[in-house]
Amino acid sequence: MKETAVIAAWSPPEWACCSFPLPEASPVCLEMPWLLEALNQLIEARTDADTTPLQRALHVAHMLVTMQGTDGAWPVRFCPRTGKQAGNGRTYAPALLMKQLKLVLQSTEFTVAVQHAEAHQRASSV
Amino acid sequence: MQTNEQIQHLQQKSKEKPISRREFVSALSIATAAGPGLIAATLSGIALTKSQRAEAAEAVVAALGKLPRRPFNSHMKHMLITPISISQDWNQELYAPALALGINFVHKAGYWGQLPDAFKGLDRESYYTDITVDTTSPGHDPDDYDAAYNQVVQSLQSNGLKYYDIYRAHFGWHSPASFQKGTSYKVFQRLKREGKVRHFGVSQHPYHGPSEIYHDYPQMILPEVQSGIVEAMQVWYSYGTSQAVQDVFAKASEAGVGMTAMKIFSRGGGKMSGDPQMMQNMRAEGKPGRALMRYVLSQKTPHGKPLFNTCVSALGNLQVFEENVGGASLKMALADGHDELVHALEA
Repeated sequence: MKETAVIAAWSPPEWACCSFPLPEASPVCLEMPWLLEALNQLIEARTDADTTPLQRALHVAHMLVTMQGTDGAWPVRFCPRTGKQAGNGRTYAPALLMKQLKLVLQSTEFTVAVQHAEAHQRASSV
Repeated sequence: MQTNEQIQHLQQKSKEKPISRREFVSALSIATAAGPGLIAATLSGIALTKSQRAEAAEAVVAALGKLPRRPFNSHMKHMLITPISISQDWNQELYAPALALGINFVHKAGYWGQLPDAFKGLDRESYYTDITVDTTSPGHDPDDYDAAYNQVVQSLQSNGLKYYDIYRAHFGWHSPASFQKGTSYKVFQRLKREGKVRHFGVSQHPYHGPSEIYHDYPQMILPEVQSGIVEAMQVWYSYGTSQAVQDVFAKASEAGVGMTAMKIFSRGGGKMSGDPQMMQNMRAEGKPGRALMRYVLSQKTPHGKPLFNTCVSALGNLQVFEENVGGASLKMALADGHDELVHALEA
């Protein structure tokens, strides 16, 4: 059974990654798997009457687009205060979240980011 | 039964099954009597059906009144737009009440995969749109001419909008040098000749991601203003933005650039929520969203021009719609005695 990501706090506006969900009040690093699970929970919490949880996930997804590297991937761990990568791990997992948002919103907003991730992922698996 | 008790009773009942027509009419009467700008807030917690939500939205629209329209600064003075714009990622149930209020600009319309129902049947010339063109974001090639061109062309084929009023380079540029390469502007010029876009703009984010050298906002904004080619600029601004950054936005406004404020709540919501005096100054006690909108819209340049012509705000439900859009309502500003905002909205 997948572990639930418990959102303990939200990052303050002066952080590079502002308004990100956090597992604790002031983490030094944020793990991408945890973040993506938290965002998925927010997306699932939306209703027809209230899409506010989706808005919060969208804000983070917008910021994640700017964090995509020239390799089409994202950091596995990063510092939410500075936005800088921690360690060397890279992941394409945010592209899956963006594909889900694309379906939910019937939007082309994340098309370019997803295409870049998939192109680099294919190239790196050859 | 007292009105508060009635509302609480309906909140509980609606968790089990939809409330009846009679119960809804009673709740709406209570909400309307609570005062303009408080309708959705009063109904909050009652689970309404889609048609009941639409009817509540009509009451909110009647209370807020048509929003004023003002020139989108001198570069685009023929475009008269409302102080708040629709965003493509809003809860789509809010499109109809927004249009009923006269809101006539759609941010990120280029991301629509198809035209939403609320816009079908509208004269295309009756509203304005922008497309945020993504090749300037990190990880992508900021000089990819073909990708930028194709994004605009393909989106118009999908959504049928015919053209966009503003081509916005999205997320903006990462350094003055990358801006000065001019690739996005060359794409814009070709699209303009083809009748697909009309004005050139940017949605400039303050970069400090892991792959970017940090450039402070003034260092990025100033070359864009001085170039003379940027007609519209969308930037991060809220209660708490530094004076240095505000000063450079004022330069842009004074130069005639159409200015849009974004990230208003994500950047200033916490500060405003913790500042009851400022909310009182904004005549919006207990309503940080409305206070923020009023704060942003009443800011001026040193020569008295509006600092921002319009704002974008993420809206997910009718209560937030009423609170935030109420901050751009002239009718509400008059009712609340916010003279400074009245003056700004009538300018």
